[in-house]
Amino acid sequence: MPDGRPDLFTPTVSREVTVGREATARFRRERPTLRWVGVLTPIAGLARATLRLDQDETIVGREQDRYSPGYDESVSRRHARITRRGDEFVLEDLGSFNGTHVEGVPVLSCVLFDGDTVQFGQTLYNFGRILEPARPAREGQP
Amino acid sequence: MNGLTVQFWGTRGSIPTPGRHTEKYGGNTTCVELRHGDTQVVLDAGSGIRQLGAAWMQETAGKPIRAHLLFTHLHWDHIQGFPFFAPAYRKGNSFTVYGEQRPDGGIRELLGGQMRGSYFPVPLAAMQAELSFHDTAPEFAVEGITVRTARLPHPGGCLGYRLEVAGSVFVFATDSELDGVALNKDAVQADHAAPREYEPALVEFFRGANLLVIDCQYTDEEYAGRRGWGHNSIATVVDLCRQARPDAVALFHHDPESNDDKVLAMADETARRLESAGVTGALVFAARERLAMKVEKPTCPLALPAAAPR
Repeated sequence: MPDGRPDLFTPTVSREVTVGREATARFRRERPTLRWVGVLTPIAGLARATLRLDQDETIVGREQDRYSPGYDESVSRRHARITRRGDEFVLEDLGSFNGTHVEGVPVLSCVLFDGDTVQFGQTLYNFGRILEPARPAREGQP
Repeated sequence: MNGLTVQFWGTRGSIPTPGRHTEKYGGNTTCVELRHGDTQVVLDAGSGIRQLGAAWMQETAGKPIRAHLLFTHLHWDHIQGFPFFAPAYRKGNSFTVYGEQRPDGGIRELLGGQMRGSYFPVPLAAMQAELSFHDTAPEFAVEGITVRTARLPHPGGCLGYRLEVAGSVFVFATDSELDGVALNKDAVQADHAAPREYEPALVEFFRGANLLVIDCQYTDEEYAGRRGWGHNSIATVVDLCRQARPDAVALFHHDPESNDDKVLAMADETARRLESAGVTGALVFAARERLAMKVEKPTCPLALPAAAPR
């Protein structure tokens, strides 16, 4: 029933709003594309190399060139998968022999948060995330 | 076939608590998924069931979903996600729903009640999946999984569930204030550190779980001001575990006022006190949204040797 209240279900769009939206869209186009990168930093145990998780999917294991925790027989060949979805990194154990522990808990899968400890075999890592440009910045550009 | 696996989809008590300070342990209310082979069981339909439903829809890619929903009780934080459980709206899916008959109705009427009239725009009848509703018996079987129930002390009542299959024992005891049924409750009220004495049947219900998921909403200090609200404190959980000896304990039903740091501190404190009570080797942790694990005696992480010299 009409009762004098404005009908906000069919709003009219003013010219000022349209101009404002175009400016916002321009601003957004000019922003650099950013992506989250996960970092597993060894804090105790055998391995010394930091594992940089800059792909949408990373397999950690003894026979994975870039993502091997070094020479550690207690790490399975394909030990765990870490999937990046936006700012979220999901870890899944791939049926490893010695398991994957997050904060000391043996997990099948788990969302990782900054500061979590993750153990593969005989190395304990600290997990953290950094935000960085998706492509290297060109000179003169942000 | 292997034993059960569990995944937490909602661990928070009372009301959804989104935000940065609760994102690690989670802000969604009670929902826990159990699997044994193709058998899927869901405990409660708090707000966490929305994400579970979405995950199932993605995983099955149109194939029929069949599952069993077990309700502990019908307080809002245990049913509020049900209207947002997408698989229930898809024809071809089927769900067997178990809950306790209440003075004000059965499980069908009460679940449907929150989807009626002014509460929600879509009625229960709009759910196209095949839904069958059952009163929860003291003991029954779900596709080979033995399910036992116990009445837990909570305002209005709450069911605890014990599920066993293939050597895997899972006990779920959300929303409970066990001090209320201690045989020496006056002594416990006078001295919160006093050892609790329970009916043997109660301890037996909890005994020997591979994983015990238990309400531990309050610190002992908080509990002093919230007696009768229906939730446990750390001292109660420690004392129960001393008697029931689970392999692993997941603290559950986190208080909406507890941020991630506090939830972690409560788990650490519980572990420390359990060890002081002579219970060594039990894994104690705070239930964490979306964490999945096997229901078995937990494996310890390997010892950490010193790194080889560079």
